[in-house]
Amino acid sequence: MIRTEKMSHVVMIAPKTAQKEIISKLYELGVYHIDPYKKSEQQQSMQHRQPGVEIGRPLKEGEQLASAIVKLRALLTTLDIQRDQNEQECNSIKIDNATIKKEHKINRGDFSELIKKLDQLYAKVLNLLEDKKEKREQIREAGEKIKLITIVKHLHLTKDLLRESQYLEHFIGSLEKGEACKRELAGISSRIECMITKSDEPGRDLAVVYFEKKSNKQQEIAEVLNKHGFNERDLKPILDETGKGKPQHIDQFIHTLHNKMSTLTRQLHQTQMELNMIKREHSHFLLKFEELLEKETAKAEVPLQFGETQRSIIMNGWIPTQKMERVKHDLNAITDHKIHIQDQEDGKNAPIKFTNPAIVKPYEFFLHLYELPNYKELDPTWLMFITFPLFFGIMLGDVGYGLVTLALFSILRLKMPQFKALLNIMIFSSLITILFGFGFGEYFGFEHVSAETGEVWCEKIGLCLPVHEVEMRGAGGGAEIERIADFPRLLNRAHGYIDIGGMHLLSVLVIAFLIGVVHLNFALLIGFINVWRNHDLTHALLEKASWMIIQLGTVLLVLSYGKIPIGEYGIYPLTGYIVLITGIVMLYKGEGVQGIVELPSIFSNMLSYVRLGAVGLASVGLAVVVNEKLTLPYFEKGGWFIALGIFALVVGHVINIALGVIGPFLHSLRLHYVEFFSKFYKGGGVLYSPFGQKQKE
Amino acid sequence: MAEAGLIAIGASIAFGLSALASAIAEKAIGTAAIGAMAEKEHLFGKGLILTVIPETIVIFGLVVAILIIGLAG
Repeated sequence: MIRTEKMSHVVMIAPKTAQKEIISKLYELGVYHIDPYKKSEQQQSMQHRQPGVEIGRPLKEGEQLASAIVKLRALLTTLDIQRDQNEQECNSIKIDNATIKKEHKINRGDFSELIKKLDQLYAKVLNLLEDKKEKREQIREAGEKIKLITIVKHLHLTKDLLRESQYLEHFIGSLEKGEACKRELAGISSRIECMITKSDEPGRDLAVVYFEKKSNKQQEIAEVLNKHGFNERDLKPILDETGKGKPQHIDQFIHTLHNKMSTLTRQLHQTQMELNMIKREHSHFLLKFEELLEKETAKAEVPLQFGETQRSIIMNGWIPTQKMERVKHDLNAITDHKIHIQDQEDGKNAPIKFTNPAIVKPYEFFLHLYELPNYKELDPTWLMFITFPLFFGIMLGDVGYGLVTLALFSILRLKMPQFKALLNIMIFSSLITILFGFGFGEYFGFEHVSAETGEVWCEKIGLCLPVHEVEMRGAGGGAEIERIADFPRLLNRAHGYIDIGGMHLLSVLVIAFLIGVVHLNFALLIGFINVWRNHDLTHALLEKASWMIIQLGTVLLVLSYGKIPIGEYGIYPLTGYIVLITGIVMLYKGEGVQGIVELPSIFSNMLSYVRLGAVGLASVGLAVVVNEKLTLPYFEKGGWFIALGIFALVVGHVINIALGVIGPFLHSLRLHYVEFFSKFYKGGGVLYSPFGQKQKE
Repeated sequence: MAEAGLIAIGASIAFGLSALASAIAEKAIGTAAIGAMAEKEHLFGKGLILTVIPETIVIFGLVVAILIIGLAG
C-alpha cells in the first residue's frame, strides 16, 4: 500500500524459431511490461560495418491481419454496428473466442478461414452498397425525366416542332419571371410566339420562343432572354425517347417510367433488407472477430519493440517480482528450456504498479492528474486518502450542504460511470463534510433558530436545543439581547475566538495553521525516509531534518522574545539563534543556495493552510447573508413575498453549494500538490502497462 | 467608533489589494497554463500548481488583515 509493487528487470534471449510461442505465452500471462529496444547512437554509426542487434520485425502474418482489420472496421462503420449496443447481447448469448474458433474450425494462430469469410462478407456488402447507390441514381434520373416530360406534354411540343426549319427559329430554356419576359418579347415584335409554363427547376419558368429567321430579331430576343437569366435546355433527347412525342406516346412513356421507379424502389428496399440481415446475422461475429484480430495484430506487431539478431530475439522489460517464478516456469516449458531469462532487482526505471486497496484506489486519480511517483518513492495515494476529504470537509463543513452534495454525487455516479473514481472521492468527501457540519453546528448556514422555534421543535419532535442569550449587534451599532435556540457544536466557526499573545483571533484560522504545521512536518518526515532510502542518512538529515530544526529555532526565538516561559524556565534568545543558524547551515549543505532562497517558503506554506479556515468562513458568510439578509426580510413581509423569499433562498444556496464544491476541491488539491508534495515528492514514474490481456482490477 | 471604522478600512485595504495582486499574477499564468493544456492535456496538474502559486499573496493579505483586526480587538 505504501510501496508500489516490487518489479524485476527481465532480459530474455530466445531463438527466433520460438518467437511466436513466446509472444503468445507472454500475451496470455499479461504481466510483461516491455521496454522498447532502442539502438544506441554508437551502434547506428557502426551499423554498416558490424551487423549487430537490429530492431525487430513484425511477424509475417502481421500484414494480412492488419489489412483484415481495416476491412473489418470498414464493415463495422458501413453497417453501423456499435460495440456498446451489442455488448450486452453478446454477453447474454455468450459467444466467446473459443466458440468462434470451434465454429469456424480454426487451429491455433490460423485465421485464413475466418479471413476468407470476412473477405466474402466484405465483397458482398461492397456489392450491395454499389447496387444501392446505382439504384438510387436510377430512381433519381427517372424522377427527373418524369418532371421534364410532364412539362413537354403541357407545352404540346413534338419532335417535328423542334426540327430545324427554313423559316422558323426557336429558343427553349428556363428563365425567371416568364410572364414579364413574354410581355417584353411582345414589345419587340408581334410576330414572336412565346409559350411559358412552370419549369422543373424551383422558382423558374420554362419558355419556348419561336420567331422568323428573316426578321433579324435574334439579337434583341437573346438580350431580353439573358436579362431574365435564360438557360438553354435541350429537349431533343427526351423527345427521342418518347418516340414521336405524340400525347399518347408521352403518356405511355410516363407510365413506363413510373413502373420502373416503383420496381427500383422495391429493389432498393430489398437491398437494404439484405444489408440489415447481414448486420443482424453477423454483427456478433464481426465484433468478436475484431477483438480477436486486435489481439492477434498486437501479438504480430510486438516484435517491433524487441531487438533481434540473425537467429535470436532479445526482450527487455519488467515483471512484478512475485510473478517471476511462474513466468520463468511457463516460458521454459513451452520453449523446452531454449530461452535465457535473466532477472535482477533494479529499481531505477521500473514502471509503477499501485497496490492500493479498493477504498484508496480512487485517489490514484490525483496522481495521474499530477505525476506518478517514481519507483523508489513512497506512494502518497494513501496520504491523500486521509487528508483530501478531511480538508474538503473542514472547508465546506455544513450538514445541509454535505447532504446535498452527497445526493448530487451519488446520482452523478449512477449516470456517469466513467467518472466513478472521482465521484467516489467526492461522495466520501461529502460524508466528511456532514461530520464536520455537526462539529461546527451548521445546517444550510443556520447556526441557531429563534427561541420560539426551538420550543416548538422540543414539543413536536422532541428535539430540544439549548437556549442562550446572545448580544446581537445591529446596524446602528447598538447591542440588543436576543434569545436563541443554538445548535450544539464543538467549535463555532464564524464567532469562535481565541486570544494568543494579546491578539484576538478566530480559532478556526489558528487551528488551520496548526493543521498546516503538522501536515508539512509529516511531509518532511516522508521526505526524510525517501532520501534515506535512496541516498543515505546524512543526506536525509541535511535536506529534510534541517527544515525541522529551522522551525524549532524560530519557535524558540518567538518564545524568548515573547517572554513566554516553557515550564518555569525562560528562554534566552541566543538558544533560538544557535538552533536556527545550525538549521540554516545544514540546509545550505544539503540543498545549496536554492535551499536558502526557499527559506521563507516553509512559513508561507504553513500560512497557506489558513485557507482551510478562510474558505469555510467565506462559505458560512455567504450562507448567512442568503438566510438572514436576503430571505428573512421577504418572509417577514408575508404574502407573495414568501414566494420571492423561497426563490432567493434556493438560488442563493445553489450558488453557494456550487462555490462550496469548486472552492474546497481546488484548494484541497492545491494544498496537496503545492505545499505537501513539494516537501518530498519527485515523481516521474511510468505506469506499469503489461503486454497482453487487460487485467481485471 | 471612528477608530473601529479606520481599522476596518485598513484591514480591507490589506486584503483587497493583495487579492487584486494575486488576481493579476494568476491571470497571466492561468492563460499560459490553459494554452499549454490545450496542447498536452496531462499538464493539468502542473498547470494548476503554477497557476495557484500567487495565491499565497492573498493568504498573506488575509493574515495581515486578521492581525490588524486582532490588534484592535
